[in-house]
Amino acid sequence: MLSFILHRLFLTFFLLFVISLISFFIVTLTPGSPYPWGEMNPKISPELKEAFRKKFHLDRPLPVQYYLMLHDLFTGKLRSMKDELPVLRKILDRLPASLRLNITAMLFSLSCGTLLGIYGARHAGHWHDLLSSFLAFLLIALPGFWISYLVVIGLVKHVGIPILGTQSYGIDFPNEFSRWLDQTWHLILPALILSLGALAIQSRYLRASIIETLREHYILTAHAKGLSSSAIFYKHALRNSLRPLITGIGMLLPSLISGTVIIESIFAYPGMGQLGYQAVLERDYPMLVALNFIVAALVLIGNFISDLLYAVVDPRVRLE
Amino acid sequence: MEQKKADDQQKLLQNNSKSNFTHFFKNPVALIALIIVLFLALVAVAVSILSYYGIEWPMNPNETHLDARLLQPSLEHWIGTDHLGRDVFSRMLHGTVISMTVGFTAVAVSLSIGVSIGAVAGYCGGKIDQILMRSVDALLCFPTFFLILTAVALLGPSLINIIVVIGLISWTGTARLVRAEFLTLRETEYVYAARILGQRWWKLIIRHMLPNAAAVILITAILGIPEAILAEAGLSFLGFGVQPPQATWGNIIADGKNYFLDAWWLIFFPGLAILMTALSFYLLGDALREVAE
Amino acid sequence: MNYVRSLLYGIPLFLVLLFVVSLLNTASLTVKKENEMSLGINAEPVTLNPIQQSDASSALVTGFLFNGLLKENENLELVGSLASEWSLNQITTFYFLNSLGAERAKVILEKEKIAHPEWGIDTSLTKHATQLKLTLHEPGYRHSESISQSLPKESLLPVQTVRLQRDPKNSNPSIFELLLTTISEPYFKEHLQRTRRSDDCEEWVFASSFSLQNFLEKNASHFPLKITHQETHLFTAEPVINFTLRHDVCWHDGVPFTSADVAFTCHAIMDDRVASPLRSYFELVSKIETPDPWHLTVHYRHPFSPALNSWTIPIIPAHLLENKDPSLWGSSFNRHPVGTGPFCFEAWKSNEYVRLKKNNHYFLGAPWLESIAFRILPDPLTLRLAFETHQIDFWDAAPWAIKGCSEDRRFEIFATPGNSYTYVGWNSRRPLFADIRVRQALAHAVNIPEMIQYLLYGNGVPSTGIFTPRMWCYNDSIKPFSYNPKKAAALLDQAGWKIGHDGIRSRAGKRLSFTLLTSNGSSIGPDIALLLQDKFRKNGIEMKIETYEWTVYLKKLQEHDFDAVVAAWTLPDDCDQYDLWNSNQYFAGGYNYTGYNNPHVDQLLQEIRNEYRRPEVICLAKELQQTIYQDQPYLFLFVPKHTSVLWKGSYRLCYPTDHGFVDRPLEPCKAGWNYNMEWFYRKDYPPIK
Repeated sequence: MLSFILHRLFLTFFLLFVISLISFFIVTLTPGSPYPWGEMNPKISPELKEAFRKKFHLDRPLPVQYYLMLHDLFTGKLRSMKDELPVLRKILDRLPASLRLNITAMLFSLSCGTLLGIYGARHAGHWHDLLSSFLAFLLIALPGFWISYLVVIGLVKHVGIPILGTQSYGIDFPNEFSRWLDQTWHLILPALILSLGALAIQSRYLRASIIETLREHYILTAHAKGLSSSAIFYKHALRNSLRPLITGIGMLLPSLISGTVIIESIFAYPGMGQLGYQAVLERDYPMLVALNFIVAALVLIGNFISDLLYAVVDPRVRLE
Repeated sequence: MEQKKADDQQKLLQNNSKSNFTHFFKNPVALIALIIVLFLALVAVAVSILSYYGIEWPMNPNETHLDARLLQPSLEHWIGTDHLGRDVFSRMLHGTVISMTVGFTAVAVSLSIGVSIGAVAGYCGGKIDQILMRSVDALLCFPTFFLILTAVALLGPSLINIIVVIGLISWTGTARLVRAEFLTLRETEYVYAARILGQRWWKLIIRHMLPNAAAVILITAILGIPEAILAEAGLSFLGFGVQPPQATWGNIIADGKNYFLDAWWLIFFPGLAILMTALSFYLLGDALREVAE
Repeated sequence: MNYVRSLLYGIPLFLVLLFVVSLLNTASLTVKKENEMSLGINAEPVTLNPIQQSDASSALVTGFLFNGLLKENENLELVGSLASEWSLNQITTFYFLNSLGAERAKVILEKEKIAHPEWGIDTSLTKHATQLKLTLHEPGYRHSESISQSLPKESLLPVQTVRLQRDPKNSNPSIFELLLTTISEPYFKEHLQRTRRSDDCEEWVFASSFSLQNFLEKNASHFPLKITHQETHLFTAEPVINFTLRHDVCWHDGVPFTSADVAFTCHAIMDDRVASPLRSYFELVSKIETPDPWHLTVHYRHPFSPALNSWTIPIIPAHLLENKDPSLWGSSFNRHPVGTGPFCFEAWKSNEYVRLKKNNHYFLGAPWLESIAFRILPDPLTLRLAFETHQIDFWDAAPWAIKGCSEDRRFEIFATPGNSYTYVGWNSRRPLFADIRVRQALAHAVNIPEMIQYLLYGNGVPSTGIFTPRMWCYNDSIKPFSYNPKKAAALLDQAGWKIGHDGIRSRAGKRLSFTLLTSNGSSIGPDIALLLQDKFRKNGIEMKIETYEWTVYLKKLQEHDFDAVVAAWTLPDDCDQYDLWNSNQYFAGGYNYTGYNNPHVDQLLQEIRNEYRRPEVICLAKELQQTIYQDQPYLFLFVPKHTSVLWKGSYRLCYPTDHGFVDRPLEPCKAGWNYNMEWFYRKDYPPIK
């Protein structure tokens, strides 16, 4: 077990550096320059641009820049090109909101997805199954931005309920609980829309997995032994079908950053997706290096955790 | 264990028997999905042929009528006009062509990469498999957005570049599935027999193993098409789609999103079209998967 | 097993319950009635330090927090803000070969002074060794030049201004010192002023007939330096601005405002570590004197009339920032600014809002509003929704929505001509656009009023050149090029472009075809491109369109890698456009990116910079606008109107003047309907006078 963990950790770190190196090169080689002023501002002198380049090491060769940025990242000194604030602080400012959004979405998608998958699997072949399949595919095919716009406009304009931002603005809250509920409301709707796609996919994978498990011989044995069908289902079949769910949990962490840009912008919800999108458009290299690193780390950690969970759930899996 | 292997082999060696087909046709949802998909393909083909000969029906999608901007759906303009006075219905017809093209071609690109890598990984197993799969994992770590941005900025936002970009990003799922299939196929007796008989490895892969993995590949393809269409819509929405004046569903939504409060049809109908197309493909692919099992 | 089931059903149930409860809660909340103005901004402010900011959101917020020494009034004239009075004069210095020459010149001028009162020689002339210093009423070269005419030429030393550029690869930084120790010319060394512009560039001003250029050419191997700019006058003219500051101003933390703050602000702007975008405004300042806490004297190195406008920049507090390293400003002062303005900083919740509260000790009196909130809403649709649901009070209407809003009787609309104009820039180095007939034909081929009607829904005016109607130097007698496709065809035929068989003109085998660049970051650029493409095709011109992402588009512009480009300029209120049109500004990253080259225009641009008297500047500017418009280096399209929508009657204005307070409804004026926004008040909270 220990050797497995060490082996994986080593591999993870190695991959992490390789990935961050490659993505650094991709990003810096993209045409476009990172100056934070309006580029077409006639009052900006070339000397000012030179000073900016010097400050952010843009005049050094690329590998040196990469090394310097990593060095700054690990010593906590890395500053954003846009407003010179420490990059880690900007990321940490947005992290709680993003975490709340993604964890809520994950709860939704895992729980509802599981229910939908179980429902479909238990009634495989009947019209219940067809209905749940149809629903699942409908949710996968739904374009996120389309439904977001419809929801926002419908709610704000026609029903008159505020939804934008993390909290209703300009409100006199009678107590703390009311404020917390309001924040929850602003959080739940975007989280719900985010979770729709993942929910449907989870349900499909789970359903397929359960159906396959139900064909196993030991299930037949259990029936023969006289166990009730729901007992068989929840006690034996479900546990052995959890593999796809665990894969889903593993893939969740990286979606903190990339999957949420459009929804965050429509709901005016300040998360890390917007941060990354703005950083790319503005070519804020330090921010991109930091975000890249974090995303890569999260993916690898997610894989690692799901591999561990596989072993926990299925004793047949041996960790090499 | 032995029995399971034999069962799998039986499954693989079976052709799609008649019973499977009738089962497919009994499924009403699958039928409807098939009809919709065929209808869309027909529309795409018809529109391309007509425009090749210069016939535009019902109207020219690129002609601007600045005195007829943002008109509501009416008898003359079935889905109204956009902010430059162009007929949205005609634009959506042309958008069908692009969406279908993007869907099929991007899937073709991603399939060719994914199948090759998955086949090699699945066939070789061991070290090569590990290296390839780790690289796949590594690729998944890249925030897709950077890759798209870089590619589009470096290569320019043309239709071909977008197809290539979408294809390059989505091959990992195919690779994983094909690899899993090949890992199983590798253990079958007939492959073993062919190896003993001295077949070269590439012939083995192409002649023997691929056809048996064909079902999986086909289904992945069909399920990949709506993903490509949704990806293209998302790219257009963010501003990285095809150049004006070409119309794609994503383009129409992207152009129209600013006018939403005054002209809801610009977002509603193309979005609906994307939804129905993607849904049909998914349902079709799922029905085929049922048949294959 | 049971707990698995209950968990599975329980979590979704709990979430649904939470959804319903929180929805009901939010639906039942009532909005707090507050005396607060809410503005919507579409991007988070980058920094609230006014000398480091360059984006519109930051500028909007700091406008309420800080004051400058001067400000613009409703007619865009300069009036005092933190400065109660100011005056301009100039110190002109003549340099002579020897003391005798200076003495003789002094005698001559004392006599001439009486005969020429228009020169405005102020006090008595002062002689220092070989120099003669005069103080003139008016800054500028004009009078000094006439004075120099009356002096004997033999003893007068020419004053040369040279900019020296060293090659960073071939020489080390100390080469400038080396050069100085080598040259032995006494007057060169005695009357030398050196300014370092960057690591590789220095500007030297010296009085001598010594020719530095010849010396460098002869000694090129020892001193690999290049002279990039050279100017010679017979004197040095140093404009001086004298400010008298108000005594009753305090910073938000209670510390009194003094001239030390102004001096600190200027030095900070010039500091490399601060990297201020305002630096170019102050590069010509040679000296700042603060004789006492309420008087300030600023000396400039040579006449530069746009410098006066630069004193509207906000002043930052010395006592909070002078002992702090600028790299620490970002996390402290820049997020918690302290100014002298009508509102104080209260809170900044990242990506949600910035809130200011009123300054009860504002020197013009406390404002009527309790607080101002800036809500950050990046999506334009959500911005509009927020306006319609009263979450923000004003909305900058998009053109297509204006008609709908103007018909809605709940809203009030203010449309003022803006400070920006949209154009198509022709790359003058491409042979296709070298012929002026082609450029003028292209201008006649487009129907600009139609474009305004259809793209801006009528909210704009055709552009007649480099200035917009709002500016005080605008030439309103220029007629725009008319939409005349026949004339366009005639001009093109004249230039030799005949219509080919495919409908596109060609000349000597080359087709009249080019590519227009636009950016997907601009909402209107691609639409303009499509309309132009249509019109040009009808005249036998083929135009292809390429859309790029914003930063890539900018890169292509700066590297001059384009045929034609759709772009827009947003202009400051002064009429100095040297950086945009002077032929020496055509380098990678320079703003004259189309390569416009007209010596007469170069001269006009320089004269505008030298001239301090507004009527004269207006004359020069009008001629400049006319010349450039006829030359058509751009296809000048239109000036969009800036339209704002507000809820009718929600705000009124009550502002202090010399004759007491004026209370009136909101009206547009030259400076905009939101001039004096700090003096707005809400109907339900009328001012207590």
